[in-house]
Amino acid sequence: MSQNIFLDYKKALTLDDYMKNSMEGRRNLGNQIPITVYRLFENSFREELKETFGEEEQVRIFRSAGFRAGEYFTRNFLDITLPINEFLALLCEKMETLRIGVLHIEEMDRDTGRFILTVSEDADCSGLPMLGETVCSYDEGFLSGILTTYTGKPYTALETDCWATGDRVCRFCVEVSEH
Amino acid sequence: MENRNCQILFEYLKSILYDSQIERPDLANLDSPYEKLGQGLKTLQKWVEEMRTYSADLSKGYLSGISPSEDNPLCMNLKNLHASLNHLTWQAKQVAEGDYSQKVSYLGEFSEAFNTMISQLKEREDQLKAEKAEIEKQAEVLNSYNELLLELTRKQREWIIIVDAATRKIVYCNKRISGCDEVNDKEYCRTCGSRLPFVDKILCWGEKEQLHAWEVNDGDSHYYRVTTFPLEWKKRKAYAHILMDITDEKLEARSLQDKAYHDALTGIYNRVYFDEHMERVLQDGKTVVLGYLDLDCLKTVNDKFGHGEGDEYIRRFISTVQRYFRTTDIFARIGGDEFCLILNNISKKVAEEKLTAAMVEFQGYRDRKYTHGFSFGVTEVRGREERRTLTEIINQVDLAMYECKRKNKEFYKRQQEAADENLGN
Repeated sequence: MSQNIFLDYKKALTLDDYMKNSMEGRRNLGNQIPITVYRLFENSFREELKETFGEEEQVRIFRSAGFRAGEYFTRNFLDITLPINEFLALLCEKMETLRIGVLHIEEMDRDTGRFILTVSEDADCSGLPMLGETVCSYDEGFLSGILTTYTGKPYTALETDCWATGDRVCRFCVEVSEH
Repeated sequence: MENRNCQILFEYLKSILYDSQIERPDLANLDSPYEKLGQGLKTLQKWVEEMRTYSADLSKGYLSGISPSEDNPLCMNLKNLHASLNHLTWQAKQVAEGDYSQKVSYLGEFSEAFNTMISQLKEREDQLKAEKAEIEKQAEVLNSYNELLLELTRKQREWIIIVDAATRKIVYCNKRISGCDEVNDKEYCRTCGSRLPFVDKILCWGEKEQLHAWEVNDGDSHYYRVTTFPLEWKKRKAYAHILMDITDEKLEARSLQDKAYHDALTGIYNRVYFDEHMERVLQDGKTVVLGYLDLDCLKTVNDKFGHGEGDEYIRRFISTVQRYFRTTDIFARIGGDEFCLILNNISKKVAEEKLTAAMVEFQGYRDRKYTHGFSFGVTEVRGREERRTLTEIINQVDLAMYECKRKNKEFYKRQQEAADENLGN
């Protein structure tokens, strides 16, 4: 096969590039896939990464990927010019509309910027068997990516309760990182 | 053996489900096959106790209590409820701060009721805000009107004084000097203190008339018109007094009256004043002596020497007559050459003597080339006994004057003949 000169000079694709024209190739099947397929995709990655790099690295990679997704989601689906209350209302609406999960706010400290958020019917973990540990590291990154992009401050999120720990919602403590 | 183990475990299960204080049997006494089942019931006991405590806390709205163990399957839905209540609590706080973007999903009828409540709250708040904006707008307009009214009131020439009906103290005055709030002191305001010395009359006012207009003098040739009416001032009975300085008005009225009652040429009273005065004399039944004077030869002087000389002739005549009478006597010009004297406290005889003396003096005036003289008649107006009208009195005294004039004509004739004779010689 002859060499394609254009491929020699192609630039590395970014997340934004990959997300473009996602509907182009799905004219008949549409833009939705069952949650089972999503979880198959996610958990096969989880398992492979865990076996290859160990659990700690797998968690770090999931969290980091979630952060990228959170940034992208904020830039493309939300409006960072809105005041905080309206921004949160839009975030809840979008997460529900896109079937990511039902986001609820339990606490919000305006002075410190600390939030306690819950996600029920979470796409990642709801319905999982009792595992005795939290598993939503992707969501941790996703939520911190959203709030970091909106506020311009470095946010981190820590999951404190999860379906996999016997709860019925995933609960996250999201706050500005000291470092 | 089997019955005993079953009985112990059954009683234990019953106690777990129904007793507030669960009696746990000594599981070590169970036979080997039942020991595992006993351990399972022990775990169930723990979960049931956690669920009871947890559900009791939630039923009382206590959301910060002890959480059940993570692996307790009996509490899973309660945890979901707990999370929903936490979120609802936060939402309620947000709504209290005016965040009406809050919505509740997946809580059945409650979701619908909550969302309807929020929607109505927002609608009502929008309505109230609109009403508030309208009221503020109206208040702003009213405030500007009020400021205008206050400014106009302050710049009014009139004094507007409000006096408390019970305490007799001034509670408002539009002339109050800025910073002078000692309204309870009678000397509270130097302006009123010096310019309204009759302020005591205002303070003591207590009439019940709805509206009373009166005039008052400050004893220093200043006049004020006071309009007084009762009113309620700051929920207390009070009187409002509006004081207008009418001194200029009075002076102007007096000036107009002077012009209306005086002869422009001579400055003595005119026919209007004479008629009004005599009507009052007759009405009041006063006794006066009336002198009727006719200036002789005025037409001749006017024709021969001009009206300027004629006017001078009249003034000379008046000056001569006035010297024989008092300033309190009335001297009026009632026609071109006709004059009247109204004399008080004098007899007809004395009046005739004085007029005769004046006439003689006037006839003796020698500085001019023409004859000086006047004729007169005198009558007494006899108080209550007088039955004649003014016209009848004038007609009668006019006859007496003509008799005098006839005599004077003869006198003038003799004078002229004597003068001609002197010229002939």
